[in-house]
Amino acid sequence: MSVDYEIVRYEPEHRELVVELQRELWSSDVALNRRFLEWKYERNPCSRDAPIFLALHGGKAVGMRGFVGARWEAGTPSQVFPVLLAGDTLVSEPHRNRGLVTRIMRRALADLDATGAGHLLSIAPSRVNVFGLLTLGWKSIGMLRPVGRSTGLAAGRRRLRGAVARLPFLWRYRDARWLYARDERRPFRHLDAARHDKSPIAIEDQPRPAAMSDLVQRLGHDGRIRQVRDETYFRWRFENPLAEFRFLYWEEAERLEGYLVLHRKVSNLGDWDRVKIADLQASRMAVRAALLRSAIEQGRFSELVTWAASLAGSEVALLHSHGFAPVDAHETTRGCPCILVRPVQDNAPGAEWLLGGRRLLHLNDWDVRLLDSMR
Amino acid sequence: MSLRDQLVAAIHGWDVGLAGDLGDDVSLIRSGILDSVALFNLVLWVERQIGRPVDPTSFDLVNEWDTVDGVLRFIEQRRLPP
Repeated sequence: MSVDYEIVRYEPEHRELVVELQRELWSSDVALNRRFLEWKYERNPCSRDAPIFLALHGGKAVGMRGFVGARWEAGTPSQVFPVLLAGDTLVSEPHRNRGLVTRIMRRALADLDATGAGHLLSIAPSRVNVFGLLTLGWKSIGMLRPVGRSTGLAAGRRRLRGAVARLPFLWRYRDARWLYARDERRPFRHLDAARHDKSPIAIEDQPRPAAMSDLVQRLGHDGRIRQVRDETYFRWRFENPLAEFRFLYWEEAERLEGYLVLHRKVSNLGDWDRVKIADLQASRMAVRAALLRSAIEQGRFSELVTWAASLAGSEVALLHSHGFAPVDAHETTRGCPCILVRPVQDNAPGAEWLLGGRRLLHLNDWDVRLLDSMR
Repeated sequence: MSLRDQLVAAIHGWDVGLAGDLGDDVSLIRSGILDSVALFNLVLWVERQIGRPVDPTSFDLVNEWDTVDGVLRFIEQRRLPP
């Protein structure tokens, strides 16, 4: 069957088509999707011109890939580089297997050359997207080593939902709320009940972008490739309407010495029941340990997950000592989650696989946090 | 049915819009016949043949799986002994 598609760059007139299409990926709530689109693409501090590419058919958007601007730094001394983060790839089901992902990406590559960004990153793309990107010259820097801790009951309920998903007729109830315990439906309820601002650890639902950025600056940069975590970035990042955050702060003499960011997805799609440690920074190991312990003890989460790939050995050992172990074997044995990268230009020379003198394809040259992804 | 025939039948079953037979050396990936969803299905199929997960980032997917011949060679090299 031959079907005509028009591949176009996003214009404001496409907004309602996008939020409708993304009911399959972002959330089924159109109003929430509209706020997410505005936040991510229109209020992005690095690129307000929303480089989104769409496949249109019959007056509807049936395929999409978006790019958001970001500032990453690398090298010694640090140099800042504009990059584009790829995401939100979706082709609606009746239009799959028609090469739309490739067509959209090829159109995007032709346009993105003019943005000034040298590299494209895709942080923790879905397994399906990994295949599409690998065929278009993207390369993996390696697997991000998810680790987590969960209660036995949570693991049991996850198995139950998996079993329901495989049953005839009943599979459509696999995401039904009654298959989730109260702690999974409202994963921050224990932490919120324990919320306080008693020194030295404060538990809050609001970010402190200036203080967090100041701490990152004081801790310095070891030259690895990382997101620029300045005040502007933090202020924007924590306004994500598809996310719910909690913050644990450690203060000494009214100065922030550590923070831990907890995140969960606000959507009825995806792993919304899972709480993640999106970022953890501290001026010394004792503060890091205290923040982690407090999050675990006060939060009593059914499941708490983070990425370990960029952590120092002592930081990984700290997680292990608090019961964290490798998770998501169904993904990790298949190389996911990972970061895929490629220069914007096709057939880039070998030097283009460096950023600030650091090797883009070596995981050890990266300092990447779960916060860097939009997961 | 030979493994080759099973693979070709599977590819046809993924609704990739193929007309006619699929020769052993026809490009599957560079030609765009297989997009990301079809490749995902292909990986699942290969995993069933070799009896273990496949990490597509650990080898040159485009070069090694671009033809039916290439996919069959991949399976032959990695198949677990019975």
